[in-house]
Amino acid sequence: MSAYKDYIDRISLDEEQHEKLLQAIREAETEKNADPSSRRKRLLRSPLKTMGLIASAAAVAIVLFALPSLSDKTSDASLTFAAAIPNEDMVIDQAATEYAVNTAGQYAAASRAEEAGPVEAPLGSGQAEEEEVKSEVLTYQFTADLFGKIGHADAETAADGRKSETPAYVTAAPTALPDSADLDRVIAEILNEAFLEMSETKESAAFDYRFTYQNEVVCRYDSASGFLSADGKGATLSDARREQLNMLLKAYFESK
Amino acid sequence: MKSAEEVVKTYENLLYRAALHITGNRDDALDMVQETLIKWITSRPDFASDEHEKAWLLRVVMNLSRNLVGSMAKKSAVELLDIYPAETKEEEGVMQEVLDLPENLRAVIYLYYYEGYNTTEIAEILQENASTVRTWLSRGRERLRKVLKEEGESIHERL
Repeated sequence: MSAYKDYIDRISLDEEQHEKLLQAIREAETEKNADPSSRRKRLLRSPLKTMGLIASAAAVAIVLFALPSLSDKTSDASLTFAAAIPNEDMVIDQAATEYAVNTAGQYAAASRAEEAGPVEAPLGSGQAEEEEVKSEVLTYQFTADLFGKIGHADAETAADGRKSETPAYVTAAPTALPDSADLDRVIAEILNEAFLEMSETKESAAFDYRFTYQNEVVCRYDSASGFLSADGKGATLSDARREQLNMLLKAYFESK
Repeated sequence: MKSAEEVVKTYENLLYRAALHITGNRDDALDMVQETLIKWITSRPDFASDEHEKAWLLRVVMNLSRNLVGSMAKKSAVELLDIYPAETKEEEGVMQEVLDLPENLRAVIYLYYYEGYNTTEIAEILQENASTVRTWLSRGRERLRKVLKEEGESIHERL
């Protein structure tokens, strides 16, 4: 055994430190469980700079992924992600962004869309039900510097506490993004996390988000079912991601 | 999904050692551990494996600790050795040298030799380029080699 390892092996919290830590953690957890809005307040204190999130009572638009350099042919290929949400008081939690950075940094979580159960009441695919909840529309517009935006996350608010403007994943410019499968996963996770965070702050919310491409819905995300095909009839997550989402992203990268 | 208490019990010493290694101060290290765990509670990441979880927590605690140290005047490693005395002269010598390294080299030495990560993994944890990490590791080894050589031992024997 090395002297170095021997020494470090002996370092551990004593009983008093352990109890102090446990107490602090219990309090933090209790606070979070008792008042979900406290998190929201905390995050609201920290301006949503990271992705240029704009929340308003009427509508929320998030610029995630700019497509400024698309050719004329694809210039209308803005990938929008529309959501029906039932409540005006919409807040998008910055933690979703933070987590996106982390997962992109290769500490990938399994996709919640595949593993998690319904987070809210199923919306269903019927038109009538859709109309009921469609009191607002949340639009995600994917624009060219998703990764640039994340990469320039405010140092003070980065989830992992690193005061860096270049999280690992985004040190590469968009022209050097990971392969499509990885990108596909990252984007799906970003979206899933964002939705789960939103549903966390809006307990009664059910979501039905739609990706649109040239004004046509190409895939949907239902808060209960995850990704669906455009008609809402049970496409798997991988179908939706690989066949539709990637198609849009491919158009973007080919245009570079 | 682990409970907060499970995470505390599983990782508290790992995080504490890492934080202590960087801050050299027990109270600061405990603060960094607490802050790291609170970040875990508030974001509740869902990791693909325990290894991912461990890496994420190490990343957070390392970054927080490095930020803290970066904002403070350099602390002496003596405090750590006072709190946790070495049992042998050999331990004391090597720890003194390791703890006298700049925090970036110290972090890399710790992750490489104690936690067993390779330089690519360390780069991810520290959010640095792999080539930078390799340079730091090389510098750290060189610094230690120089000192340890004077004492007639190889770095690998000591680390």
